[in-house]
Formats: sequence, structure tokens, C-alpha cells
Amino acid sequence: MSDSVKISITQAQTSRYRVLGTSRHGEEVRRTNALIIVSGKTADGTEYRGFGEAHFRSEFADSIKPSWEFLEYAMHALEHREFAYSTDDALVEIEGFLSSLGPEFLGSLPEPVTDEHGNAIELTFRGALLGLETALLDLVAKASGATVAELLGGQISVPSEIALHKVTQTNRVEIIQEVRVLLEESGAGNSPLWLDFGRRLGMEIAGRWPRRIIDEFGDATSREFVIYHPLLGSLEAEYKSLQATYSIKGVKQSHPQVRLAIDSNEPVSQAGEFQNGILVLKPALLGGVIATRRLLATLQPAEDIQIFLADDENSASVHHAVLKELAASLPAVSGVISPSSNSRNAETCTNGLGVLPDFEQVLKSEFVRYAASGSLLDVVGPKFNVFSELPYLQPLGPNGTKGHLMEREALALGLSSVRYSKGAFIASDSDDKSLVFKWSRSPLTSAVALSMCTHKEATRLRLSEFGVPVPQGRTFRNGDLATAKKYADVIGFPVVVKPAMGVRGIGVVAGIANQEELDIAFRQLGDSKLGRQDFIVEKHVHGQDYRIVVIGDEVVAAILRKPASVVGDGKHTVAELVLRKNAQRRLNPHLWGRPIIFDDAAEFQLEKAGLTPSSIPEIGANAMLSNSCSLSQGGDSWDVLDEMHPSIKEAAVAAVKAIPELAFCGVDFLLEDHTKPLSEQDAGICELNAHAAIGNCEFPMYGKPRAVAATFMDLCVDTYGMKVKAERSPELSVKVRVRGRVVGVGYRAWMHQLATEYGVRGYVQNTGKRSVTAVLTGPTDPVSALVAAAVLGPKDAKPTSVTTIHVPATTNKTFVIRATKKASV
Amino acid sequence: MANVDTDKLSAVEYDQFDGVLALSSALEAGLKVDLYPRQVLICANDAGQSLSFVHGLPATSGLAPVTFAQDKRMRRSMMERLGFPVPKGATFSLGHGVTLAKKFARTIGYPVSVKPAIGDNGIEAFVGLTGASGIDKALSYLSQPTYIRDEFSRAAYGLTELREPGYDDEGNLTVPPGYMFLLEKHPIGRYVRFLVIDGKVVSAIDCNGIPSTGGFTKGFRVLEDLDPQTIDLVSRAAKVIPGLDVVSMDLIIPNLSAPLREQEVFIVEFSERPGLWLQHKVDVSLAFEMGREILATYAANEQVVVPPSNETRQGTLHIHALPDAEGSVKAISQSAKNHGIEFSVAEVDQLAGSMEAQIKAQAIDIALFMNALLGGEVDGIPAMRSKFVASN
Repeated sequence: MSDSVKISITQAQTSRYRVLGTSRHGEEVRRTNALIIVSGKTADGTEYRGFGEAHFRSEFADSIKPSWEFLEYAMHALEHREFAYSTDDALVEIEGFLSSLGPEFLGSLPEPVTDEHGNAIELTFRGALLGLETALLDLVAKASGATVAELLGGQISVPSEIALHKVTQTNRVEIIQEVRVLLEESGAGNSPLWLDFGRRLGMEIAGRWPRRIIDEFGDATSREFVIYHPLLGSLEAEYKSLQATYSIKGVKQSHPQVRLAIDSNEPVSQAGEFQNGILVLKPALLGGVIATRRLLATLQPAEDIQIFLADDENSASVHHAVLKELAASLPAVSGVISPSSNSRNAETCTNGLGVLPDFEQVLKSEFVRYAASGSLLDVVGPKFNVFSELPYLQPLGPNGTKGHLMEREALALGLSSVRYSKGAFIASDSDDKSLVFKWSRSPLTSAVALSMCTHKEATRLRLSEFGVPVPQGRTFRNGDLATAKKYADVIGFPVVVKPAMGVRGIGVVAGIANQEELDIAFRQLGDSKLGRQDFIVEKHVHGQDYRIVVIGDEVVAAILRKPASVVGDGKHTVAELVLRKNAQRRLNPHLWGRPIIFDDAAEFQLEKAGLTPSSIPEIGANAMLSNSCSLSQGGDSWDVLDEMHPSIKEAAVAAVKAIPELAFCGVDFLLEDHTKPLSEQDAGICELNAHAAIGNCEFPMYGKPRAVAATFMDLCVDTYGMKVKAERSPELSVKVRVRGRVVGVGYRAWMHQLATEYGVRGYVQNTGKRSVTAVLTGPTDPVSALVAAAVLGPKDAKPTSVTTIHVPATTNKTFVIRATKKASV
Repeated sequence: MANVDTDKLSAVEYDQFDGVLALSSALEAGLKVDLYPRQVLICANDAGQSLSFVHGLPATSGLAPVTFAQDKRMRRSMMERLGFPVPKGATFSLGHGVTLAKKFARTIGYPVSVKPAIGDNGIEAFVGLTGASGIDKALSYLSQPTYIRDEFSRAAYGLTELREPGYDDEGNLTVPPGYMFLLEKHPIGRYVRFLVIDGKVVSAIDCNGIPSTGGFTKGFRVLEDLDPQTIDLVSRAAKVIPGLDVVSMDLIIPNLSAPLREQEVFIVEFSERPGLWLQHKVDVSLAFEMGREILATYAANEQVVVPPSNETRQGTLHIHALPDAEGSVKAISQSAKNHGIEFSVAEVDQLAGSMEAQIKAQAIDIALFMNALLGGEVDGIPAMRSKFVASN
């Protein structure tokens, strides 16, 4: 085979995402799919992209974690791999590559994969392999200018596409009524009506349904009925007997035919004993697309036997397409059945599978993870920050830094602590002088300050009194839209609408240009979580959104917050860029739980720019995805402290001084240009945050990180005259006592695993029925993070407090679990 | 304060009471007062030295301390660690903990109390429940979203609930499943309400009826009658959360005349708010006295000089952020007069949305009027700032 018919893989990407499905019992369940994108280049430089869809399903015995790790491994294994794209060789090479991938992955693991009881799990990766196979088939088919069906052996037929209707009712009368409605809704066609009974009938009742259908509908229609999954899961072995029952029933020529469809996981050649039945096959269970093709290619089923391929209940466009292509290449296969609830929104393309993935489904999923060959750090444009402490902070959850950073600084200064929750702790010195903290709420700031700052109108009036620039505006009672609309005319458009006591940008609509847009904004605010509040209409200040952090009398950090966007690299689609950007954000301790949210607003922004999720923006082109600068909505943070004009810093400090006892504040300043004097630009402070996040400036996406927590803690200990170390300690050795439900729940093993991963030395042991004690020695970042995580513990633990005191460094070289301490006699 | 119209004060909601008295005290003291929504009060003397309050709490009560005080689990845990007597108790979630809570109640024994675990203290308590049906009744109330609960209030500095309400099996709207409640043993004895200002116990009221259930009917001053050890216990307990300048606390004491060492007492309520509505029900003058004491202590600690007191004030009242200033004159004037205030409009600026008036009245009447104005109770007019500068 010459190089001229090879395609070389340039990149492989996968995104695992969650979809909502329905269990056999009608309950909502979460299932996991993964979209696979394999990019390749032929010798003439032409680039192609193949798409696949993996399903992690219990029926494949594939649990999610190892399946995902396998896919991550596969992405790297695919990079630079070459595949022939001539028909003869392509299938052999793809099958060969995939057959070796599973064993290679398992061989690369340091120890066998086990279940929660420590038993080894046999992994097949069927769902993941089918997705990889689909992507490679799509890729090489496109490279050869063919459809996947043609690649598989030829487009022989146009397969039927059957909608599978789920029977939702449970008693006979209601089921019949449901079927009657289905018949009416499905019109006068003569295609079979497939009824999925959801595996809930016994043998006797299941056997009665053909007669019932004939009795009820025999005179009304001549359509064929297919009954699918009638028997309880425990009666799977009885289908052959049931099939006999259906055949024996005997049906008059004039009556509709009722047939039974049976899942088959066996090679079809062995299923010849069925009569007048339908076999339903899942290619994943038969070894994949190519293997299924091989099994069925020469099969000539009896006349009264039909074979269908079954789509997955929660599949998307790509999986459905590969089933159709497979069916099209096989004369023995009549068609593909899909649950009628499956909705697909696929763009089409030529060759390969003929469809593009439904990127929106992935982007809008509540849970998405991304992996790719190559490095995530390869980006067009400015390089983003990567923080070494990230692994230590992840067990704390998406908002973990908020409650941890101040305790880290307290411990680094030699204070002891008692933590009561993820957010709340007390720091004490050796004289028992104590300070309390919850998130960024401190004893330095007053309750008065927060009460004023969370009321935007009060803040505006107060700042205005002190000569600080604020946008002109007014607060209105909830529902008083008429007065608010008149007021907007008085101050002039554009205006901003926001809740009177807002947080995190919820309900805020900016840049409202006229009365019609104002009506829309009122509706959006009303529908938001804060829609019951009074609301504000204020003049829109033209400028960018800055968060300036003031501690005491000093500006200690400043970031520019830009709305969510992605920068084109000429290679990836908008959807892939969003997935990559969110994966990059997961490397940032503050942003890792704050992905770009792909919602209607994002689609609107793309539409304005003439883009869709499938568009590939040019190199350097910026694709906007939001008009909100909120980092929680996917916005970017850029450190600008050193460039900020002194007049802006002075105004920020003046604003904070206007509020009683406000020691730590995030000033939200709208500015045209942070490098210019305030007097030379349109500017206004739109909000003061008395309990602002600390992590956004401590961990900016771009630019220099600022030690906000350390500065804040320094001010706290200075103000209260706490006895602390002269300098922050880079190493800690602490004794931690955790109280609560922490014994018999795997707490020690959990701590051992984390401490070992973090390189923390020491030990952990049970010291009572409801207490565990550990000594942790190591660098300040991991040790303090472990102290913070200790109040969470493993899944079944319920710690109520964590007491941390400083002790001499342990002599242990590693972290060990000590035997339970016996009570002293 | 013989001239005070007690009926007028009685109409003030319990969660507004402390704020009104703080404002009244500041007006009496001749300070310039600047009132913002949610009872944020900033007042200053002629030298520009200022004091500030929210809901009657001085600014010396820190944000983190008041947040701690609003978390009953943490507060109980801190007290237990330091050896202060709290009843046996635990917190549970409404979504997953109801069965466990009932089991816990059987373990510790009835009667028990059920309260929200987080939020304003001294409200929505279900006390003396003698069986599981009582717990069900309490949880039936607490499972309603807070915005439809009659007794609910949230301090301006309280944590905002951003979790979505859910629906129960019957389709009724409920609080989020993670909503927590406290279940604790209900001890037997007299409820005594203490007020502690800057570490000093300044009031103790023997209660008829339970304050936190709304069942309080009347009370008696007992500060002088109690065992000094009990007073000392209360004073020390008020410092468990460092950084609170004012604390009100309910103890259950089996025998008020018995020494502490001879009986088991329990701390059952702890609030960062003064809760002067209770003192007002005992003796109107006591509530005013306590309000003045809070201001005086705060001013002394901050070394702010307070002018001589005067119960009647006259001066200039400024009202800001009126969407229709001219259209508001009639309603505001009428309301002022209804509050017993001599009120004469001096200037109205329609564009700026402001109004200025010359007024004269008793400090408490001015306070009630300003509080009503900022609370949107004057014809629904959304005034957002009201400033008074005395001329006498």
C-alpha cells in the first residue's frame, strides 16, 4: 500500500456528555454518551473529519470511569496513526487497530480495574469501541469519497426507519386507548406500528396481546403490529416460547398481523428456529460495525423472518447514521428502529455518514468532559495560566477555593483552626484570640456594609453622595413596569435592567436599546431566580467590565472581565473550541466549575455573527458567546492591576470608604479604558461586593495572579493584633482531628489516597467512635487543601468539625493508616 | 417616654423593631441620620464622626460573626466544644433526613423542638413537640418556600437562597431538598430572655409563653433576681462567636431562684439581633432604654461624641429617589401628618426625584415615619434614602 492512499490522524478529540433518558420503570435516568472527532490529512494535504458516538451503557458491562479512561487513552493512541482509505484495506486496518486497543490500554494500567469490593472487572469497552469504529469509518469513507455503506461493501438498499413507540399505560383498557391514539396520530400509512412494552408483562398476559389487538383494531386497520420487549427482564429466556405462542394464535387473512420482535445477541445464523418473527440486533454486542457486516453479509433469512438494527434510546445523529449505513450495505437487514422520543437536529454533509454531530446536544448537556490528543495548552492567542495547586483543590468542588484560601493563609501564619463546613472556620492564635470567617465574609467587614452593598440603589445613592461616578438610575417596586418604562424614556436609552439585590449577574440585562427590548428584559428578569425582587433601571455605561479588589485602603488586584468567547484557530469548529476552552478552564482553580454556558443567548450571539456550532472560525477570529461579563457565565478574567490608571484606583478606594466598615470589597467598575484617567472616559461603578470571591483575582485566566487571600489575612491579623509568624510558612505540619460520622465509612482510606497523591507525609487513625486524627506534613498548599477537604470526607462520611493545630513535622517518609487507637484504661 | 403612643409601636413588625429604636435613639441624640432601605442607618455628629446600624445591629457586629450566629448547627457545635449547655440536637435535610430525624427524636426522647437550621433566629420555632405527628406538622410548614411562609423573615445580611424550590409527590411547591432543619430536645423550665451588650448582661426577662413561637404574652424583669453564676454564663456564652457586640439569648431555667450549680439550664436560642420587641411588651420604657444603651455603648467604644438627648426634634428631612417626586407630595405629607409630624414641604425636584421638608415631631414619630417611607409603606412610593438634619 503506497502512502498516497493513507490518511494520517492529526488530532483525536472526545467529549463525554450526559443525556437524560427514561428507565424501564419510567423514571428519569442519566446516561452517558461520548462524541468522538477524528481529524486526518491525506498525502495531498486535504483534511477530513470523522465523527463517532460512544455509549457507556450497563448492557455493555461498561462502567463510565474506565470507559472514559479508555477513550482518553485511545485519543493519544490515534495521534499520527495512519489508515488506508481504499475499501479493501481500510476495514482490515480499522478492525486491527481497534482489536488491539483494549488489551493495550489494560496492559498500560498499573493494576487491574476493580469494583468497589475490590473484585476485578472484565471490561469490553463495546460502547466506546463502536464510537471509535464509527469515527474511523466516517473519516476513511470521506477520504475515499464514499459513503460508509459503500466503504462497507456497497449501498445495496434503502433501509426502513422505524419509530418505536413506548407504551406508557399499565392497564389493558388504557393501553388500548393509547394504541388507538397512536394509530390516529400516525395517519393512514401501512408501515408496521412498533409497540415497546418496556419489559413488564408475564408470559400469560404477553401471550394475550395479539388477540387483544386483533379484537380491538381488526376491523379498523390492516396495519401490522410489532410487539417489542413485552416480557419481564427475568423472563428473557422465554422469548422463544412466547414466539411460538404468537405463531400458534393464527390470524385471519383479513386481520392485521401481530408479530413479536426479539433482541438477539447471537450470530443470526443460529436463530433460524424462529417463525414469523423479527430479530433485533445491536452491532455493539456483535463486535462492532465491521463484525456485524461480516456476520450478516451472506445471511439469507427465511421469508417470514425480518432483521432490524436497534438504535439506542439516547443516541444522537451520528450513531443513528452509522446504523443506517450498515443496514444499507446489508440485504438481510430490513431497517433501523429508533425510539420515537429520539429527536435529532443534524446538519448533513456529503460522503461518510452523511451527517454532522448534534453539537448543541453536547454543549447544552449538564455535564461535559473533554479529552484530546496533543496538548490543551496549544492555543491561538494569549497563553492562559495553569496553576500547580489545582489537583489539591478539586476535591473541594467547584466553589472550593472560596472557603479554603483564607484558612490556608491562617495556617501558613501559624494560626490554628476549627472548620465547621466547606465555607466556615475559626482561626485562633496561641492566646485564644479568635477570628471567624465564612467564604469571604470576615469579622473586619460589618453586617451594615453587606446590607448596603447588596442593595444596588442604596449603593448608588451613597456613592453619589461621595462624588464617586455611578450610572444614573432608579429602583422600582416589583411589577411597576409602567413607571419604569416612563423613567427609561427620561434618562434615555440604552439602559440596563437588574434586580435590586442581585448576585452573580442573575437577571441582569444590559444594552437595552428601546421600549420593545425593555419589555423583553422585564420578562427575562421576571423569569430569573431573582424575579420576585424590586428592580432597577439605569443608564447603560459604555465600557468594559472590571473587578477591582480593595483591601483596607489599597487596590490589591484588578481584572478585566470579558464575555465568554472563543478564538478561532482555523481548524476547530465553534463547538470544539468551546469544549476545549471549557477543558482549559478546568485547569483554573476558580474557573473549573464555571464553564462557558451554551444557552439561547450563546446561540443568539453566534447567529448575529453568522456562525453556528459547526462553523470553523478563521485563525484569530473571536466568536462571542455571551453579552454577560460574569465569570460564572463563562467570562474570561484578565489581570490589569499594573496598567490601571491611579485615578481609577483612587475612585475605587473612595467608593469603599463611603460604606461603613467595609474592609474587603470587589468594586465592579465600568470603564472604557483602564489605562486612561477617569476624567477622560465614560465610567461608572455599578456594584460593590462586600463578600466578593477571592479566587477570581488569585487565579486569573490571563495575566499575573495576585495574593488576595494573603493580603486580606494579613490585614485581619494586624487589625485584631493576633500573634502570628513573621512570615508565611511554605511548609506545614499539623494535627487534624475530624469529628462526626467518620468511622466505618472509608475515611482513613480516603485520606490516605489523597495524602499519597499530594505527596503529604504522616498518618491517619481512628481515635474514637466518631473521630479520626491525622498528622499531615508537607508543603502548605496540599496540606491546607487536605485540611479543607477533611470536612467533606468520602461519600458516606458526615464530618461535623475539623480541628487543626500545629505540631512538629512527622518523621514518616510516607502517609500511612495506623491501627485504631485503643481507649486508654 | 410617657407621651409615646404605644399602639403605634405595637404595629411595628418584630423584625423592624430594633431598627426603629436605633433610629429613634440616634434622632434623640441629635445625630444627623441617613436612612437607606432595609434599615441601614448611618448617623454622624457635627464633627463628622459616624456610627452605623442595620436592623438595629451596630456596625461593630461583624459580617462573619452574624453569619455564624445565623447557622444553628455551627453555633451549637461551638458552644458544645466550649462546654456551654445546649440541648441534645442534630440537623437534618428536608429532602432526605425526615425519617432519620424522627428516629433521632425517639432516641433523645420527646418533647423536642424543630427550627430552621439557617437564617434569622428566634422565629419559626416549633417547640414542645410530643410525637412524630408534631414533627410532621412543623416540617409541613417549613417545607413551604420561604417567600410564602407567614413567619419568615430574612435579615438584610442573611444568606440568599439561590437553590430552586422543588415539588413534593403531590405536586406541592417545596423548599429545595437540601433545606436543613434543627431538631433538639426541648428542656423543661422557664424561658428567660437575656440581652447582652458588649459582653454585659443588661436585661433578663422571665417569659410567659415562648418568644420564638410567637407565643410570648408578657414577661417580668428578673436580672436582679438571678444567680450571678447564671449571668456570668450568659455573658461568656455571648462571646462564643467572637465579633458580636449585641446578643440576645434564651435560656431555659428550671428554677429561677435556684443557683446555677443546683440545676441544669440550657441555651436554646441565640441571636445577633437585640429583639427589643420583647422588652417592649414588658415595659415600653425598657425597650427605649435598651435602644439608647446600644447606641451609647457603641458610641463610647468608637469614641464618638454623642450630643445631649432631646425627645423632640425639628429640622430638615430630605427624601431621595422618588420616581415621581411631584406626584408623591400629597401622599407623603398626609402620611407624615398621620404619624403626628408637623410637615411642611420646602422644595421638590422632579428631575432629581427628591423632596425637602421642614418637620417637627417626637423622635420616635420621625423614626416610624422614615422607616415606613423607606419600607415602601407610604402609598407604595419607593423612596430609597431619607436624611434628617436636626436644627434644635
